[in-house]
Amino acid sequence: MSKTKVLLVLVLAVALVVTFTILPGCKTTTTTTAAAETTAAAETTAAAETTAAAAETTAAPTETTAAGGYPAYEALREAAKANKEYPGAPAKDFSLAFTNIMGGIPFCESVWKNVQDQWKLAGGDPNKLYYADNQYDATIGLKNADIMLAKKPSVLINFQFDSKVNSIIGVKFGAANIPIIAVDVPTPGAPFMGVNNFKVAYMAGTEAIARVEAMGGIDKIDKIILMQMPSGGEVTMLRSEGFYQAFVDKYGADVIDPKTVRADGGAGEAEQANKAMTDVLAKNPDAKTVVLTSINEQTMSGVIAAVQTAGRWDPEKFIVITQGCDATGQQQLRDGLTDASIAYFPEKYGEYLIPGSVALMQGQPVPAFMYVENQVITKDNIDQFYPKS
Amino acid sequence: MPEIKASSVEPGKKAKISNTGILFIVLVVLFALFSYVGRPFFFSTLNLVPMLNNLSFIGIIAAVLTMVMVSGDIDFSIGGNIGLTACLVALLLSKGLPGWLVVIIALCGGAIMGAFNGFLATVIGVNSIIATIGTMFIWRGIGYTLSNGESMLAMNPVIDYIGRGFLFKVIPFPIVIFIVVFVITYVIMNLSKWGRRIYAIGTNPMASYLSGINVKKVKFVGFLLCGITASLGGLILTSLSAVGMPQHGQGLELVIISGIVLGGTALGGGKGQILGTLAGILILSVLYNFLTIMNVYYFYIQIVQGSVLVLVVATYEIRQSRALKRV
Repeated sequence: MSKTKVLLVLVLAVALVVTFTILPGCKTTTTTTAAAETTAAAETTAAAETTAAAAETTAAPTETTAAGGYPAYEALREAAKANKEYPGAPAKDFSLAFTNIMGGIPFCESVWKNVQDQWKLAGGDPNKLYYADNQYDATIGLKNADIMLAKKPSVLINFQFDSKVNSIIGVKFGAANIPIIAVDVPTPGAPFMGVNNFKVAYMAGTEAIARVEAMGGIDKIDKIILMQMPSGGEVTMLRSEGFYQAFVDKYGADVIDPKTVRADGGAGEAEQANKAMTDVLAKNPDAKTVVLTSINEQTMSGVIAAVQTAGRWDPEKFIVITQGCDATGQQQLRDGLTDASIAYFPEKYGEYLIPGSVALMQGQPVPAFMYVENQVITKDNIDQFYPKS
Repeated sequence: MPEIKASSVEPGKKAKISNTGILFIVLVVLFALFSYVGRPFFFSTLNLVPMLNNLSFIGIIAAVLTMVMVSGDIDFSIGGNIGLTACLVALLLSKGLPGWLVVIIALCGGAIMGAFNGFLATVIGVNSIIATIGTMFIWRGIGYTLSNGESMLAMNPVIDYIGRGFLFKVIPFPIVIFIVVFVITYVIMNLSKWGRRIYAIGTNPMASYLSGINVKKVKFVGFLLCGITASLGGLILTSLSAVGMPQHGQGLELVIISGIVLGGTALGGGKGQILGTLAGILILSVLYNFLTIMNVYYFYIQIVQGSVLVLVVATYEIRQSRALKRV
C-alpha cells in the first residue's frame, strides 16, 4: 500500500482533531460530565425512582391528576379537554420534540396522533413539532435524544422505556435548560405523565377477583398466569406484579403463590407470547380454570391463540384481563375473547402533554405527576367509551 | 489484492475510481446536500459531535469485524457480547470494584468470548455463522441472568470517561478510540503481512494453507480481537447510557454488518477495505441522522437505508461483472 494513503489517513485524523478544536460550540458543557453530571444523574435517579415508587404504590382507584396550584396548566387542560383551540394560540412561538417509545404500535400511534392534534389546537406550528421513534431500544433512544437536543426544542416529551437511561437524557437536556415531560416511564427530575403501572395492574387484579368470586372462589382456580415482559424493566413488571398483589391482598400469598405462573412473554408482541404460552400450557396440563393477564393487548392475542391451538380454550373457564384497551383490545373484548381491559386512553395523552408542555414553555409550573384516568372496560360498557364506527 | 481495479485489467487505460472512492464521493455529496437541506440543524457541532460519538462504538466493532469478514468468517455474537459486557460492568461496579479493574475484566471477558468463538470456528470447525448465532444467544442469556433482566446503573469516573469524557477537554474520548482503532486496523489490513494473510485466506483458504499460512491462527486472532472490541463497544455504550442492561446491543450486529457490506466487504471473504467500512457506517449514520432531523418516520428511514444497501451492493456486483467481462 502506498505511503500516500497512509499519509492521507494521518491527515484525516489530524484534520478531525483540529476541526474539533476550532469549531465553535465544540467546547460543550459536558466538560464536567465525568464527575458533576454523574453525581447529579445518580442523585436525580434515586430521587425520582423513590418518588415514582411511592406514587405507584399509592394505588389510588381513580385519576390522581393534581388539582389546584397550577392555574396555567389547569386552564390549558380545560381547553384541551374541550378539544377546542387554546385561547391566544400559546404554542405559536415555540417548538416541541416528541420521542415515541415505539412507532407502529396502536397505543403509541394514538398518543402521537393526539399530541399532533393538541399541538395544532394550541397554535403550534406543525413544522416545529419534532418526532423520533425510539423503537423500544435504549441505544436508539439516546441517539434520538441527541438529535432532538441539536434541534433545541422548547420542551421534550420523552417516551423512552428505561428510566435509568432516561437519567442521562435528563442530565443532557437539563444542561441545555430544556424541560422534559416523561411519558409512562419516569425521567429523573422531570414531571411524569401517563399510567400508574402498579395501580392499573391492581385494578385489573381487582376486576379478576370479582370474576373469580362469581365462579365460586379462588379454590376453583387452577392457575394464575402472568405473561410478563422482563426485558421492559421494572416499570413494565409492575403492570403484572400489581395484578398478583391484588390477589395476595385478597387471599394471601400462601394461597396465591402455588397457583401463580410467571412467564416471559417477550417484547410485547404476539408471536413470542404465543410460544411462551404454549410452553406454559405444556407444563401445566391439568390447568383448566385459569386467570390470565398480560402487559398489553398484542401479547394477549398471542396467548389466546396458543390456548386455542392447544384445544383448551373455554371462555367459561378462562378469566382474561388485559391492559391498554387499544384497537386490538377493543376487538378482543367485542369478540368475547377477553373479559375486561384497563383503558389508558392513549388517544387522550395529548390532552395532558400539550397543556403541560405549553405551561413549561411559558415558565409556569406543572404537577409532578399527571396520571391519566383509567377505566375498566368490559363488553357491557365498551360502546360507551369506544362507540362502534 | 482487495478489489479488482479497472487499471489492473485494462493496461494502458486510465485507472477508474475504486468502489471505496465512489463511496466517499457519495458520502461527501450526501453530507453537502443534507447540510443544505437540513440547515440549520444538521451541520452544527451540537448535531455532528453527538452523531460521531454515538457512532463510535459501532465503528470500532465494524473495523475489526471487517478483518473477520475479509478472512471469510463472520461474528453475529457482537450484540450479545455488548449486552453481556454492559451487565458485567454494571454488576462489578455495584460490587464496589474500582473502575479501572472493571474495564480490564470487561475486556478480558470480551477476549474470552472472542476466543470461544474462535475455538468453535477454527478448532471444532463449526461454521462461524452458526457458532456465533449460538453464542449471541448465550452471551445475552448470561447478561439477563447477571442482571435479572433489569437495567442497572453503571456510574464511575473511569467508566463515565470512556463514553462521555473529553480528551484535552475538547475531543470526545469515544471518537479518539474510534480513530485509533481505525488507524490500527487500516495499518494491519493494508501495510502488514498479517493483513495480506487475511486477504489470502479469505480468497482461498486451501491455497493459503498450502502456501504455509497458519489459517486457523489468523482466523482465531480475528475472532479474539472482535470479542475484545465488541466488549470495548459495550463499555462505551454502557458509559453513554450510564446503564448496564442486557438489551444493549440488541440487533446491532445487523446494523454493523450492513455498514461493512455497504463499504464493499464481500460476505464470502477475500474482499473489503477498512476505509470502505468507515464510509459505509458513516453513510448509514448520516442517513439516519438527517432523516430523523427532517421528521421522517422510522418506517421510511428503514426503507431508505435498506434501499441504499441494496443499490450500492448491486452496483458493486455490476461493476465487478463488467470488469471480469473485459478480461
